[in-house]
Amino acid sequence: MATDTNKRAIELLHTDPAALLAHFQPIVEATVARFIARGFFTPADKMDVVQTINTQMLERKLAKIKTHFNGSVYLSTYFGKVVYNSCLEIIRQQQRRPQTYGDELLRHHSESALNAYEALAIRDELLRYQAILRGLSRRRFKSELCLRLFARILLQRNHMAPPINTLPKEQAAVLIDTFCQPYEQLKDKEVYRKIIVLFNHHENRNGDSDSLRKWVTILVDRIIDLLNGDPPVAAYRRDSLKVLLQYYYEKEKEDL
Amino acid sequence: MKYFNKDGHLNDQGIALYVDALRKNRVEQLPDEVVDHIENCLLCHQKAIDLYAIMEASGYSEADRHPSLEPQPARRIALRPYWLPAAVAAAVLLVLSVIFLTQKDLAPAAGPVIAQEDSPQNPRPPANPPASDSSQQEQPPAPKELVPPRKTTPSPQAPQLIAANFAVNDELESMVGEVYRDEGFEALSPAVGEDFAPGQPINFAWKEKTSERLYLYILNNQEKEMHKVILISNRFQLDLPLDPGLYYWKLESEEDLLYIGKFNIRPADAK
Repeated sequence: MATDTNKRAIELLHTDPAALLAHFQPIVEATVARFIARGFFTPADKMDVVQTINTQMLERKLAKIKTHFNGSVYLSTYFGKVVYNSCLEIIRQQQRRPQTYGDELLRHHSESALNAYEALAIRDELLRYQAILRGLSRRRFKSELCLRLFARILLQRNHMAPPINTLPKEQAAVLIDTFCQPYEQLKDKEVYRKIIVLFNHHENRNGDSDSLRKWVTILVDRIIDLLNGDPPVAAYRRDSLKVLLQYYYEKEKEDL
Repeated sequence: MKYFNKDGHLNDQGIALYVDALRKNRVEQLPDEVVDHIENCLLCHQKAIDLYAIMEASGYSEADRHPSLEPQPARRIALRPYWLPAAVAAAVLLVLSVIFLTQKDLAPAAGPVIAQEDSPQNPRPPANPPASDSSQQEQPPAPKELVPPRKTTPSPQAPQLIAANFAVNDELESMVGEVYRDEGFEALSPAVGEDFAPGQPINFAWKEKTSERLYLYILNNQEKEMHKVILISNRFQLDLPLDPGLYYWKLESEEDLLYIGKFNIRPADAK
């Protein structure tokens, strides 16, 4: 047996598909739990849905995976996508409607004890936002700094690093004085007028604060569209996105 | 196109590849066509972030090398014993050659140069500086005139100067016509790019649900503020004698940029 877990899983796919399904059960259960948390199924449906998916897998889908899987990705992720598709198929067949969350769940998270699925829905929300951030790759520094500013999150110097380290001292001091203490009262145009200095220094250009504001607006709208989902699972607007961002950066200090 | 289906969307393998890249922090290793598609396709991007969240929540992770995002480690070449002394000798020769050549190149240098980088504070002098008296203080470039001098015989340069006043401003141009408020705002006039004669009054009007205080700015194509007015109403008539050129108007609330439009003041003799 190979020590490489991915190779081992591929071996199982060809030699013992039932064992592979048992090995990947945590993925099946996590997927179904996620759709329960988003309100597509009730907790009482869980075992039925898991059973339906397992049956579909054993009857035909594992054989399909064997044919179509080309080895360019981890088999576990590909398997996860197939399970995700299966859940969507069941939802379509049964015409299930989700529970769409706004920011109420996040606002009241500390006021009342959350049940396991509410906690899962919040974690799902935070992980989806994390996925968006990771996908930003090279643009992540600028995007994430702008998103913190958009949500009026208190900055630390390292959030503006590395460019703040080479910014003239007086300009760096202005940014630290402004953004490292509460600045909720600051208007958007003031925020962008101040931070553009850092980005211009970093990117060696001479952009203006209006362009930056437009760029942030487009970024925020894209994130809202992504999080609201298809089928819809949330109903964010610009104000409610701020609640999620504040919660995410508060939780970031802990482990998601 | 192993990551795309016949409809042009990412197939299951394509979505899984993107999710693997997110989980391994290797987005930069992804094929360009996958990244481009994700950036332009909301549907595929939504599926990918859902799957990422599910895989993270499942606790299932792969520690092994990724089949396509992580390159194969370089294969070790098994050298036969008699190749080893030759390889060592070749390496020593190579190192000695590099040292010799480096010393030779460094010898005439006047001082150590680590790196050169232009910065706004310390710009590098031009490669071919204009011949001038070095003791003379450098003069800043003269500001560009908006219009040719009036009541003088037009010089041959006048058309170019007027043309410069109509040059689009790339930064502002990219924002023209877009509404930046969630809902409830609509610009009515002037129409984007509408022409006016010099001295002709210009009516600005918009629909706005709230009755907050607004700031209207008139900017020339150099982004120079020509006029600013604070308003509570949703209309304003500008009676300012503007010179021929392209102008932008920007409407802001206390909090937001609401709209950027543009209009032209045509020269008096233009038809």
